[in-house]
Amino acid sequence: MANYGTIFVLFLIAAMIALILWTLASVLGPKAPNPRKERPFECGNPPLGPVVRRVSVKFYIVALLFIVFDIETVFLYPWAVIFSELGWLGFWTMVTFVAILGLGLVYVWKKGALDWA
Amino acid sequence: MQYLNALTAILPVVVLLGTAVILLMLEVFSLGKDRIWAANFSLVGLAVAFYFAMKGLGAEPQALFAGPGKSAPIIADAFGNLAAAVMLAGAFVAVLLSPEYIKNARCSSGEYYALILFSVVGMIVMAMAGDLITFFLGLEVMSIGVYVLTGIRRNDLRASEAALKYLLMGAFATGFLLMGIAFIYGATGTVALPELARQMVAPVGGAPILVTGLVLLLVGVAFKVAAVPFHLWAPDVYEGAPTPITGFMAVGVKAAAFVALVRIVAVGFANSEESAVVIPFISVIAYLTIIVGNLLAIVQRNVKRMLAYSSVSHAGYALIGVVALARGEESAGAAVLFYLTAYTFMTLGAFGVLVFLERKEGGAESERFGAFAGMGYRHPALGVAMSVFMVALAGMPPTGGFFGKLYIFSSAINAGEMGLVFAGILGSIISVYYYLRVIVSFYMVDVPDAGPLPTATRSRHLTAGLIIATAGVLTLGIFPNQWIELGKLAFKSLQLG
Repeated sequence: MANYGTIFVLFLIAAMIALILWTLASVLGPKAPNPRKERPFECGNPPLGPVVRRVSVKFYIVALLFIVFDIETVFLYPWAVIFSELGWLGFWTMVTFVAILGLGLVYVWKKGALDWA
Repeated sequence: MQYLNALTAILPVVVLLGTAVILLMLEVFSLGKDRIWAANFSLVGLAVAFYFAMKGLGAEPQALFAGPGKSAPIIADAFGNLAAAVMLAGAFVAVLLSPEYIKNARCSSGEYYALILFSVVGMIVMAMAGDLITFFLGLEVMSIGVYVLTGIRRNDLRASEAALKYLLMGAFATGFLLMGIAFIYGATGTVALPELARQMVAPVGGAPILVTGLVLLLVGVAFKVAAVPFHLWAPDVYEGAPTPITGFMAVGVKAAAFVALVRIVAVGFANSEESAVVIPFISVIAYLTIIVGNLLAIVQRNVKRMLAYSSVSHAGYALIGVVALARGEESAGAAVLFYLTAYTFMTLGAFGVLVFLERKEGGAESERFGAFAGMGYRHPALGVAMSVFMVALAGMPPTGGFFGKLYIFSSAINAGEMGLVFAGILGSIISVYYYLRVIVSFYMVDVPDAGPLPTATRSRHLTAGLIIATAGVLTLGIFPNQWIELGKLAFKSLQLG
């Protein structure tokens, strides 16, 4: 635990520097607010529309499926690294995993989750 | 070959997984609106898995899927198989209750049964988990299936609310659980249960961290079993979920979480000073759960919500067993297992009667006590069944509920936990009031307007489910010895492994 004490001190100093600079800026800085300045900043142009737009629900399914196959790669990489150590047990375990996932792909495909219509 | 051997040791899981995947494929490739085949197919799968689980009771404890030089993630022993048998029986009855409900609620989909099977796979993995990560994995597989099942009636506002609430709060509780596992790993350098037990013998350097981890782990589990003060989601979720799923959730999720807890306490944290530190924590949760659960059940007007709070209070009774186990009382392991078995049958039976009585267009109205007025005379067999379940839930003989409480309380007395036993008995006395209220409205309330007859009067599946539940409750009440002996043997296998 003692070794982490120095890191804590570092955090403390960082926070103090931020706090001091922030206070100095707000105390010493000139202030001349006007309505134009108060408006949201959008690359110098006048704002075009609301910030929160509606997103098609289709993206949600795509994101969901992406996560599934993303996780698959997360598992496959470390498995590939220690492949030879694991031997046949590891091989067949992974084959089962990928096979079940493949059937999952067949399922979403047939359900029409991959159609963008 | 090693892989095939491992698979044959966990055949219940393999069979269930296969059945569920085939169901999904049939759902997308075959045609036909009538999904009764899906129910029958999953019943076959569950029955075969149950057969293999019972067969696995006699097998030697096996540590499976261990990498070279690593600890085994799955331990197939009699304890795991017996717990799996209980969960499979629960799922079997829940599936029997489903077809009629699905027809009425018009939420027909083949995924429904596949999701139940996937959840049971998760439960069995929890029961057989040899390390905390596998336990977590099983918990998630179980939970995700149940989240979806809760909201499967997509057009129902109550169901959507329930599913969202359950998912959000469940995700939060999962965070606690994972944090707890991380702390335990940080303090001991391992997540494997046998290795943890070895670490515990020597005084551990990071004891406060270990205690923090244990408490966080318990918070996560307490959420899953709906123990006070982590029960707030339960009434809304139980009310909004499809009734057969409510039953499945109330028994399956709870059984899996308790069985896993028994294994973690008995194998990982036996004889450790750190686990003694968290005993007061579990005790306080048990006290609160019994008292608050029972008191809140009294004021419910909706029978489904009443059963939700009753299931909260039953988690409290089972927690007494966990406390006794943590104190080193070995009979508590078998007592918890017995209690969960009895609880499975009586709760599923009660929800089965609800499925029977819910009307197509009735919504929440058909779940009120008033809606059951005079049912005991219109459906005599149903009235008898409901009376058996209520008497069992209240813990009166000659039912399994009585012996469940008896074993739990006597193990707690042996462990010297008189306060908890007193609270449990007090809670049981309170509970008699609201359980008998159901019987009163069945038999002793005047019927102002009989209303239409329930729609589910001629379902063979439903009838079979109710018969199995009644038979289970009564068998456990009349011949409790066989099952408790089986439980004791199973618990022994836990300590050998």
